[in-house]
Amino acid sequence: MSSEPYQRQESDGSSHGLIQTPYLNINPHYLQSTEEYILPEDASPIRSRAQMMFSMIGTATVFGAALGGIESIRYSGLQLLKGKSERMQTTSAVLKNGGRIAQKCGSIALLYCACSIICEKCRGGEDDEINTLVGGAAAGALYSLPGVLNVKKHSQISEDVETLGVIRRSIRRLPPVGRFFFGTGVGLAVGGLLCLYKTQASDYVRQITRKS
Amino acid sequence: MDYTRDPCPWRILDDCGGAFGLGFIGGGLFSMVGGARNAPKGITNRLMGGLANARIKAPRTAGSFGVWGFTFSLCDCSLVALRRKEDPWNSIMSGAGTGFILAIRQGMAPALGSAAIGGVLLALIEGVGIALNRFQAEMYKPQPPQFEDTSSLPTAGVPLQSFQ
Repeated sequence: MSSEPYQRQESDGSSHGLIQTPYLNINPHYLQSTEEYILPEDASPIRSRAQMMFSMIGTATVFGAALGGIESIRYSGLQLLKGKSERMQTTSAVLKNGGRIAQKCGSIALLYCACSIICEKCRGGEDDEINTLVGGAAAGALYSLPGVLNVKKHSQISEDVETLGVIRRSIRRLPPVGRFFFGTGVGLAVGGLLCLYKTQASDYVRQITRKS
Repeated sequence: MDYTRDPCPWRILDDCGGAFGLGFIGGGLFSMVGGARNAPKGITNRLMGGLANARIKAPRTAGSFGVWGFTFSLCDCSLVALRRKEDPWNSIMSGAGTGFILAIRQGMAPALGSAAIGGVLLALIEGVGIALNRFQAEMYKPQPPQFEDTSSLPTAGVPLQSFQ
């Protein structure tokens, strides 16, 4: 048994794509069945939801800030300005609008993380797609809840409804229960997209979204 | 050493999210207390007022915290990439840079003042961290064995008085 590595090396040369070192008396091929990395205590090979929470919130916040900043470049009237006033107005618009959208996105991401972690703990420590779906739906429902409850007090149809886009106008014309179901449905859909990314994403998508 | 942190470009998102979550929870609690104090009498009114104030103000506080963490981590990672080392000076300088960047729209003098405040604050934090670290290292240092002081003991054999 002990002379087998040498025999194997003689018979088929440097096979298996492994480094054969003369200092080892055994073939490293036999060591492959054990675990590859040594993990520090209470660490799992995949990062848990609680560990991924902060980077998810940060990604959502930065994404929302970029979205709002790009959206605010097409403010009407900016093209008429020149020089310093144009610069100041554009900077103010980008910062204000970017902050507004970033707050919304970050709050929704925080609600999603909290709901999915609570769901995971309630179901007993197993992490799968149901957590993502339930977390998304609960976050959408929670975020749209104040608009449902306050709609009787503050439901004056605003005067600037003509300047809104088609999607926002149609959302504002929904009844309160419709808004609630709209929020829940959007949350469920985004959760479903996240599930699809986690389970079904092709190698190319994984490659370009990888953390290097 | 913290092995659960991301490598540097991704650490920016991580820090931004951490600061956002901190501001959301802390600002939510704080503004809930404020809203309950300003609400009209009655337990239901106070509860609803606290919740409404928290819902309005918590994302704003969280946004300011988040942009602070984002800019701080941005400065930190840029300094790490430029200086090719990680030491307490990095965080002090990025604290000053964060104060400068966040206040630059109000003019040069407030920006410099804010930079000084940020640098001093981060220097205090880093100094306390280093002092705590050194204190803990002192506690766990192996100490040389201390023998009993033998000079005061009477020596065996002839007593000292006999020589006088």
